[in-house]
Amino acid sequence: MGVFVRFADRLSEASGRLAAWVFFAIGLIITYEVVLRYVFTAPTIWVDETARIGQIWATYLAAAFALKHRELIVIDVAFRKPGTLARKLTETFALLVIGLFCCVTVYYGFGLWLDATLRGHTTDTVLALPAWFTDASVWLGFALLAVQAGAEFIRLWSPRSSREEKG
Amino acid sequence: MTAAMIICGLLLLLVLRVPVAFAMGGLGVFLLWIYPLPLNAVPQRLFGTMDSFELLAVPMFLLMSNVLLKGNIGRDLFAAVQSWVGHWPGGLGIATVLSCGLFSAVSGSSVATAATIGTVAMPEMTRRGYDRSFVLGLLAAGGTLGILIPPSIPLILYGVITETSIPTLFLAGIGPGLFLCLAFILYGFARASLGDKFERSDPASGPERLRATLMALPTVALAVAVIGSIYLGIATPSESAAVGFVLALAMTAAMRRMTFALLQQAVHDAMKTTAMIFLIVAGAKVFSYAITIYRIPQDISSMLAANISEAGLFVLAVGLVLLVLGLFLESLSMLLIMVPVLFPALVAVGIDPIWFGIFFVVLIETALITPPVGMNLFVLQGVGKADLQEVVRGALPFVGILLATAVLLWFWKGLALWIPYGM
Amino acid sequence: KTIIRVTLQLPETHSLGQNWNRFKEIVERESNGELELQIFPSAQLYKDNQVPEAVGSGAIEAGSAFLGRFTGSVPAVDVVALPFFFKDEAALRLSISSGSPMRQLLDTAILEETGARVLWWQAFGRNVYLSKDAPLSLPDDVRGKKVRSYGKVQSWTIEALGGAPTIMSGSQQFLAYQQGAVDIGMTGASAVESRKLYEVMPYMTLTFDSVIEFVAVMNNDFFEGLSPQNQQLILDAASTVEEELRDAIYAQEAQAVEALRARMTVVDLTAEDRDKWRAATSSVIDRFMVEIGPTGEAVVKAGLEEEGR
Ligand code: NA
Ligand code: NA
Repeated sequence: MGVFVRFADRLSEASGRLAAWVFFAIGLIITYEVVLRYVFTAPTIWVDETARIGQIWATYLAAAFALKHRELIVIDVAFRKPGTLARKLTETFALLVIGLFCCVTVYYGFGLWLDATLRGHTTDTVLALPAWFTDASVWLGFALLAVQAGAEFIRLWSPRSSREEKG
Repeated sequence: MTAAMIICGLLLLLVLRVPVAFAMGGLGVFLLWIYPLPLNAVPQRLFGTMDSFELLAVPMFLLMSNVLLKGNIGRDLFAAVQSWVGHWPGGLGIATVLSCGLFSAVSGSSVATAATIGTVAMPEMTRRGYDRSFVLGLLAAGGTLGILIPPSIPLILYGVITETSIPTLFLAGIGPGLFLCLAFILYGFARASLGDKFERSDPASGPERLRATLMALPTVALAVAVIGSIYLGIATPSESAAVGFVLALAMTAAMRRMTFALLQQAVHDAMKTTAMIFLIVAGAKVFSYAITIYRIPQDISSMLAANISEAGLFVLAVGLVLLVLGLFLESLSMLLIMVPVLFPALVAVGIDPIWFGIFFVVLIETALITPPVGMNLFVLQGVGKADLQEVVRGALPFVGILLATAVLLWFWKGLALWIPYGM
Repeated sequence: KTIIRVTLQLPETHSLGQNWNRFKEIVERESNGELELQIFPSAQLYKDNQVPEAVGSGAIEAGSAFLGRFTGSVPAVDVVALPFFFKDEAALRLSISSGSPMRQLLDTAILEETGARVLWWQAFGRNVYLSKDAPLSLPDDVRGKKVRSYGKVQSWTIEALGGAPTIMSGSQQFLAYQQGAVDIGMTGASAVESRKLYEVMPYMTLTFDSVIEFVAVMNNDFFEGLSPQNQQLILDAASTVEEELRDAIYAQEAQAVEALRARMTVVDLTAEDRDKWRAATSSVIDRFMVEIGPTGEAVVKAGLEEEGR
């Protein structure tokens, strides 16, 4: 159990860091495009699409990190006292909703991805990026989120970890 | 009937502390599943939502403002403004509002504005004997300018959802933003004149003023360049934001205030906030897919159109609903839940979508400083190590000012529309 | 009662939306209400580029998308974008009419690759060139200029003419022309009027060199689950509305061009000029056959055969 939690934490941490630098890189390439277009009148054909696909990857890679760091917005009007049984039950319920949402997304997303990949489809642009790369962003991101949701569930109900969390 | 059940279901999930993103996304999946409709739509919708160049403005503006934040730009702005107006009666209050306004011009988020200016202004003001609750309220309210004065994340999202022009929305935010600045300043000035006790600052000397102003000048130039390039159509909001981010990085590096460690923090913080916002956007898109298939927005629209033919009545009804929702809902969620439902109806009764965007943002600002759920209240509670009650008490008069502005916007639409359309 | 949900990129008031409304009217009437169409316009459900997958996977029953959106799965659909490929309007109508060899090849490929069955093609209009500083009448006028394009083959055409292509969405055009971000624009003739492009681009050259087509598609599994009767009435209604729209669009286009003559300088190409343009861009057809492979070659041959060339 502890191994699994540590594994999930590391994975989410790494994917979050990766996502952060993907956004950073997007900032650089868009600037590069603007400079090329206005200073050298030589627009690129790859920046627009690369930036968009980068955004999809970065957003969904950051999901697990956001859950781990409790960066997901929760409406804090009820069950406000941490550590109570009612609070633990609501948090379990929330993790269940997240987990189910992930399962649906991963199951159907993977199916669509597999089909497009086997057929060798691409995006409909000049760049024609392969679908195996672009479409993997969604199911992979939500698979990582599902793993982290599992880890959070274990952390929630294991007495040792919840003490660590307070400290 | 179905609509009422769906709304109750959503509220129940939110009360049970399901994160907003997954309350909406999960409910959307559930609605598709019981209909029954193919769930293939879910990953497709998630992919399509983020496949948007317009949305890139959000992480780019967040990167820009986080870099400026780590480069201590908030302190410079405050020092510069204070050197000019600090010694006036209520001068620190005025300086605070002006600093919030200035920082708003480089930040798209209210929470970031409140946190940045709050951190520098709070100690200075309390040290000089300003009433704590007034200071907390002023900063909470001043921070809300962050989403009205461009750039603005809610306006970007509103533009993406409704397919209205983001540059035009940005321009429309300037008038009401400046008006609110003025209103906040006048309120602070009135409090000062009516005999609040505090120590005035000493007037700054000429060289001090010059130095402080020079330090703040690059940031002001950056804000003007970013908004100017959007206004002149030289670059799209996403492009301006990206260039603004790179310039902010160059600027803070040139001032020797940027280290790799700080950059890493800035990049990280921008990622966290982006993930938080975008997951809500993605969840909202799954939810709106489901309710569109159920024809809920269409039905609400035709129901409203059948019963309320007058635009004024419609705006009043919507305003009241948003005010009540704003007490409990986090502001971004309010936008993402309500706009898809309301938009067809408001077009039907002939309300200008640009004007409505600004009206909506003023109500979001109100929501940010009303209890029990008000993000800016929470920020100031943290920054000022204060009691929530204390912040709420101070913020209350500003709720009044914001609501008065919303009413004024209805009677004087030019306040928002004059700058973009010049009428 | 069977519900057919339709995702539409354009608003219901647009010719393509009205075309779907016509289809809905016929289908609902002929099936005695057994089939019901629900149209979701203005990309409420899916963006244009997601329609092939959404309809193909059955997430939604039917929809319309720009034909170029299928290039990710069937690159050969870009044949309609080949410059000066169709000799004239009559040849064009023949080549892309339902049941023509070229159509059969493409419709079959789309069905096999995506699972979406093509019901009918929706005419959107023909391509024209806009310019800012000087009228374009010869292919050489494009050399060294920055040109707005909206697809891969369109970009190849610009490269063949010695220009620098930039891909831009329809909505980005106005500002780009106004700011001078590009010198020349490729666009559908109808957009010049609807997007008020004549305000920023004083010259329009009526090349009509390629066509912009949308396709109305339906999920094939869904289609095959319908009764043979209903299948037939859907196909009949499709071919009715296909003809109606093509006639209406070309008439509208002619009208729009006449109206624009008062607002901008319109350049009509002489037969010799057209031959020069055709010669200058003929390499694009070769490039298409090489890069797209066997299907590309097959559709090009089918298109040429149809015209008896
Ligand atoms: Na702002
Ligand atoms: Na509130």
